[in-house]
Amino acid sequence: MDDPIKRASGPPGLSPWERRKDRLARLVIEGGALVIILAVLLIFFYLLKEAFPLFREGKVSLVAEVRPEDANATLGVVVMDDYQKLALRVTRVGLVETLALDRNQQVPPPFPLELAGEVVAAGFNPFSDLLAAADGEGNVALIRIGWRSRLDPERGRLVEPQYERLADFTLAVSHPPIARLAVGGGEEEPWVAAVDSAGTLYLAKLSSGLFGSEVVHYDLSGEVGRVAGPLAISPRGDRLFALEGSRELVAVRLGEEPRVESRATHPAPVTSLAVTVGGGSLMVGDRLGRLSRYLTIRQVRVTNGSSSPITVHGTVLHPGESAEFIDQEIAKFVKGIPGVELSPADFKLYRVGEEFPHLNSGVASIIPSPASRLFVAFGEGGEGVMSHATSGKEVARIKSLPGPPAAGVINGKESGLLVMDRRGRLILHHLDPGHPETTLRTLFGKVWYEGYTRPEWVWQSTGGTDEFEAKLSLLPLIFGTMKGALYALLFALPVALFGALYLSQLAPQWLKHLFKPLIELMTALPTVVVGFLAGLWLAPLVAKNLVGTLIIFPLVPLALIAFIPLVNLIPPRIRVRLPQGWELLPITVIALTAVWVALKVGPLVEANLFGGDVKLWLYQKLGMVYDPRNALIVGMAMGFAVIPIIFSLAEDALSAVPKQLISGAMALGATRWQTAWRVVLPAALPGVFAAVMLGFGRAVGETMIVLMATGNTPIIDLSPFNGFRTLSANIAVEVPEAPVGGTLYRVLFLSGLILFLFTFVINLIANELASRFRARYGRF
Amino acid sequence: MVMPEEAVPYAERREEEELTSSRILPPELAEEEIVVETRGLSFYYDDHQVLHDLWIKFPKNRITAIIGPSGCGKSTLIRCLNRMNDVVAGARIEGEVLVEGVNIYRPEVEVETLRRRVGMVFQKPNPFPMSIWENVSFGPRISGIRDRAKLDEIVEWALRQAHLWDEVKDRLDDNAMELSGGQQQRLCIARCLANRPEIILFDEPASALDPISTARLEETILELAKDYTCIIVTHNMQEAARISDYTAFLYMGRLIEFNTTSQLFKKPREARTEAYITGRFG
Repeated sequence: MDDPIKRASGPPGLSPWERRKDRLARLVIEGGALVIILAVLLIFFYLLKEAFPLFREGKVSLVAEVRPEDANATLGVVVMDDYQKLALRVTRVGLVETLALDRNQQVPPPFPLELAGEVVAAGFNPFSDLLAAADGEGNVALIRIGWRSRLDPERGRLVEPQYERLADFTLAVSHPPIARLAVGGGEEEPWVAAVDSAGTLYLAKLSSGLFGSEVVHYDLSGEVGRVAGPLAISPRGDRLFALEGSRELVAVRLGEEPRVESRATHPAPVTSLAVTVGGGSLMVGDRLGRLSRYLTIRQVRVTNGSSSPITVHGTVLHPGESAEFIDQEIAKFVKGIPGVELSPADFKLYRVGEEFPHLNSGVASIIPSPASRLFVAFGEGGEGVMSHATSGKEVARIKSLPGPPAAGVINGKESGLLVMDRRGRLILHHLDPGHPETTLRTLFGKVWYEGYTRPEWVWQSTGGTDEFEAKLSLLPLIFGTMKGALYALLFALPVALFGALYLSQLAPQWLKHLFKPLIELMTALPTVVVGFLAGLWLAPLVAKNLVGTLIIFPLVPLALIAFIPLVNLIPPRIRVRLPQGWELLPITVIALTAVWVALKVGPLVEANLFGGDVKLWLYQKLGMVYDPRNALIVGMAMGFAVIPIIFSLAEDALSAVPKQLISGAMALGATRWQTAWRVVLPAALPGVFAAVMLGFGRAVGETMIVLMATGNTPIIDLSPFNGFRTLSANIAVEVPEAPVGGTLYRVLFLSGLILFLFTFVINLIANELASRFRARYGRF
Repeated sequence: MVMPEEAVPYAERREEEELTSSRILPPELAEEEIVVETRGLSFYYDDHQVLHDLWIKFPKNRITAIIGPSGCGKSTLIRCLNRMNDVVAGARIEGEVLVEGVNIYRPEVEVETLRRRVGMVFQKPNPFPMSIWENVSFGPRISGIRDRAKLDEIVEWALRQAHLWDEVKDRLDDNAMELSGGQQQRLCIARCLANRPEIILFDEPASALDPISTARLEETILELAKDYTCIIVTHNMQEAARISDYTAFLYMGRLIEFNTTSQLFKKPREARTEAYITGRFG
């Protein structure tokens, strides 16, 4: 069949069977390639699909409107249950009335507040479900509102309000009636704050003791001036925020002895105040339609006890002077200066953020969510915006109100927003906030979180309490990924590259045939074993003789460099008789001796130079904390995992350098080493670089080693002595904690996408370099 | 005609072979100064003998061509002259190679120094993937010259000698890989000259070049022969006839005939030489 003469004279003589086989093979190969490309694309788009909703806008849609008959008889308080079934309002005649937002609900009879006169003021705290109402005489009723819900087979979920009367007491106001009322605080000790018509602030605390509860009154009239604007009590009941005059914000520390803690002057007249869950953030709306966020931050007092002036953050402190600073990091700058003392100072109300969406008119009300730092702000014109106190994201705009609301509430599930306009109409919106806490800024930029003294990159996904705010900055993880990969390369590069150079250029063939498969076999070791060994065996070993380990790194190369001139001392007569690649034996002996010497010398150096404990010395002198599972350990362990890749590919590239080039260099009188270093390595550089990139890509994606050999602490610190957390390890650690569809879940997908793109780009670069390398020598 | 030798120790054969070789060698050599000489050179790859007991003398400042059919060992022979075969696995050598009277296979001879004295130009142009300047200055640089002005001087001199200066003087920093094949080969010659060798070995230098480039290259080699001893391996008999003063004909690892080029081509003594140069085999 396959007669060459026949084929040469006629058309190609492939049999139909051969043709079919050919076509089938092509189909299988092309199909396989297509499936792979498709699978990669699918993974990419799936990651994208899961991560994308993080950046989607939220939605607000109008659901229902309820118009009570006697709309004018209501006060500016509205309450709603979690299922958006019922609403409560407080009427001037002293009743808490229930209104049905859903047709199937039964409306219970109103609850009497049992106040003597007409109700003039009321306040509701959505964080503790406390309701306070006052009549014109200063009598106050304090009630806790609860909800009972059950599923009815016919009418679905039925909700019923529960009232618990906590206290009735009288505030002795000097200028009745009470104009404003605020309530707040935790389970045990609710606080009531009131302002009378003259602007005087009154404070009362309900104390529950063994013999029932008692109401304690406090007088702050000497400290706080005329209170004009709104009041807000933090959810924990530890602070009251009030407005003195039109722009002066006052933070009152609530406790055994309430006192004014700090003041801050807002740049524009303040029209609205609200606290968010957790209690750290105070949202302030002003007449210009701007929203700002204030935090109460503990300051640090720096006292200059030295004899010369010092400058701290641009402030000159003369001897004997002291000043308070917000940034606790200041400790790092002034710690070493003798005579300078640091002491904790009081909290300060501090404006930290103004990157919020603006309203077109003055801010009329800010409605915080009881569940998160989400809030809705309305302007005088009735336009609203949904945003988030930490992220400042513009989640959604609301345009459905004709005028500003008198009151509003967001339910605990953050699925509904009920507002009451000034005519007493109730308007229910359906909320879909999406992921309001996530923006590109919170993921990659510095964020000033509650309780922090400055904006920082933080990854802290879960906390102990419900009011904990997840801090999902990806930067510490990206940093950790890069740090891990860099330390791994720091270890792997010299070993892998010199090994490849030696084996490809200098070693005799038999050694190459022995070593190359051996090194490539290193990849067969499961990384979990490497990580396990690194974390449980290497880490304590290194911690025990840290100085010795650190001495190894300069000593081994130095010993090897010192070896080079020694080679020249060998008489040529002997040198030429030595077999090719003989250097390996002395090099190994010298390297091992250097390691041994370093480990022996380590404890001596530690005893004499570092006072016997290098870790203590590091902490005291350099402020470095030694973490036994650190970048050094990971560098070694992951370096071990990366060496085979870099070595194998670099060796291939070096071996692929055409023999003519090597002969050319040798013919010019170059030694083998000069040839390897000056001709082969530069010629193979693109290929070697591709190998390094692939090794880097491997280190970036590596999971098990970093998971087991680092402490997984997501900190940004280049120190080799502390750990880090990589994107990949983070996914492994956090996935069990992430509820499907939640923000953490999606952020993990996003980090997966970033990881995917990282390795993809790195591999792309490596590929490009490798193909350039091949193209260059295609001409030979 | 040389018959296969019995395994007689080299030293014992020496005197007799001297006689044999002088019988084969042309009388004109007696007036020449001999720079390179092989004495009973045999070469083995593992068990395979490639060169059989060669006794050849190469005269100073002459072009000696080595011709012969493919696989006759002519490349192996010149690679023995600068010990380029050292690194070949399984290579073994017998006999002596004298360069200016010194056996280069003696242990105290530093092979790097030898290769600077005995330069080599290869079959395919093999410039390094670096700039032209870096290529030419490579030899001086690895032998320790760091002075940029001195290197520049050497580069210019070498490029002028190789007749390449005028073509590349404005782009010394360009990558050498961008030159044409002929230019690359002349660059390799310049690179070799920069080491100031005494002897230049050419291993079929024109085999990868077009006729015009070949002509220019031959011109260059002819020019170089005034100052250097050139030994050129070629399978192109016209080339050998055109440029060489002496020609050696190798066949199956044996020296068949060695004579002045004019004599060898006009009046070959051996039947096989005649057969080869007239194109009846090869």
